[in-house]
Amino acid sequence: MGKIRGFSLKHRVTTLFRRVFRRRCRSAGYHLLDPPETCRSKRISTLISWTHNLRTKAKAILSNNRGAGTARSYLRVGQEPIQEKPVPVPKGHMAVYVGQKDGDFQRILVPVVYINHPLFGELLREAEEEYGFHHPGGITIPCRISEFERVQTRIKSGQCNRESMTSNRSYGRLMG
Amino acid sequence: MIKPCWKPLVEGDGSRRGGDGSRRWGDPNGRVDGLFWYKDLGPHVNGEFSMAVVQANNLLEDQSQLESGPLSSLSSGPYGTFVGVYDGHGGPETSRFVNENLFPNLKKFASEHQEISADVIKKAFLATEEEFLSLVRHQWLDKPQIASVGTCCLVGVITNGLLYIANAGDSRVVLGRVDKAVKGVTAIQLSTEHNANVESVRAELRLLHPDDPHIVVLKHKVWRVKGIIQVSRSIGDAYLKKSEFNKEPLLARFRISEPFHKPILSPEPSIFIHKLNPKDQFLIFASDGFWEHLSNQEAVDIVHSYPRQGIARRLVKTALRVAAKKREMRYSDLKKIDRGVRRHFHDDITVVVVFLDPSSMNRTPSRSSSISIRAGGGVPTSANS
Repeated sequence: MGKIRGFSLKHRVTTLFRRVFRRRCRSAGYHLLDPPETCRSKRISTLISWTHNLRTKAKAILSNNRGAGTARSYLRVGQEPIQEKPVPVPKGHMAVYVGQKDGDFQRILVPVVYINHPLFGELLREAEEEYGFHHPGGITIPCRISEFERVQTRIKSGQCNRESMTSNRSYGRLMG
Repeated sequence: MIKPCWKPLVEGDGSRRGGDGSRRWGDPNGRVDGLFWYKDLGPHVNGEFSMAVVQANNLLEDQSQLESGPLSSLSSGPYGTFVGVYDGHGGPETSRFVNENLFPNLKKFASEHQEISADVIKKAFLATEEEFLSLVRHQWLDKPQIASVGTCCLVGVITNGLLYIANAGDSRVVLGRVDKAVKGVTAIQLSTEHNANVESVRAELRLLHPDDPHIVVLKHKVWRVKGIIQVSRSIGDAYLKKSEFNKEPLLARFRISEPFHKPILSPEPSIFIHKLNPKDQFLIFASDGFWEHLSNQEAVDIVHSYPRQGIARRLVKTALRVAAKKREMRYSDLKKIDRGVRRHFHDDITVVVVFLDPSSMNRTPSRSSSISIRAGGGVPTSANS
């Protein structure tokens, strides 16, 4: 395998050198019967096919990388029309879109545990009123970013107490 | 605080046979795991079944049942398997009521007619509707909001080599049939859906209500009857059936503003009869919460490619994975979302997979092999539980 590869590479290199050398000689003007265009076009066509090869190989490598990337990151975010730069959603988080009707929507990554919080429930109720449950894509919350951030801060500050409370309550209801 | 809504009722001893049987069928009552209820595999007189439910609403509105054995009170038959999927809306009361009463009504009419027929099934639907409306009338002063609760109703009956499908609403049943040409199993949808998003359903409604320009309204990019409800047929929804329930003390937000003279929704099922063929492998009954995430063929391919054991749970999980992806999160994180809040991610989902064993089709089963299982049934609860 190694041998063959080495041989073929060597072969290609020598061929390339030979061609370049030959053409240089030709372009020096000794062979007047050869029309100069042909010479140039030949050289260009080799160059084109070489760059073409290079490009396809590079593409293959790039697309391989991209494929692996999407598989790993689980969520592809390029689908949203509002998207500027897709950031993969980290574990324990989800993306929500915050903004008002005419303004821009901002994609915000929120810890999933916040979603169960009653304060977040208020925001979700607003979302339901505005868009219903069948809104395609990520959850969209119709409020100002500043308001959303305030709610997030409040949830964050009271989270330790809340978390144990909500989990206890839900288990009590479901399993008890 | 309320006791769990998840208390499936199982009668009969069909699933309690000793030895290999009990190991294969597992827990006869099904199991609860968080918001999941499932019965991975069980027997019915025409083969095996698998059931799974996941709750999204604060109170589970989907109800379902499988009854197998005698389909009437007569010892002479008919025998077979009955499957019901009831997707409630506005609350769990109607779907629970139907889960309790539709099958007894079917048995009653089957005994009178000494057979199962489209007529018998239709009579069972209409009798159940009437009984529910009289319950609403009875509770009208104490609990008027029961007039705004309704349910979709999908029923399948397998008996005598025939399959009857009766549907009012937007649940769906799909048949998986072996297709040698494609070397796989093709999906054939057997139910007719009554959802205003279907062009022909809107046309039917406009034809029935020529004087009402607002009989169907586009809201949140979804067509709704009177701008309120997606389905055009249901059991319950008394306030859209009879004007006497579209007034106080029912709260104004549950009412429609204009008076009406003929019912807006109908309880009458679309009925389809199919002669079973050895190529017919299985049936997938599911509420619309499932079909909004998976296509008929995707569901059939999954049932065809994986073991029977736990296949309904696998289908529900696949739907939840799709739902999580749509909301830009992982399935493992979706599981952390509480019921009620879950409704923003997916609806209640019920899946019943019924495998059809050709050798058992014409066998007359004995009375002792009767099966009765209900998912998420039976416990009356108040709205604030």
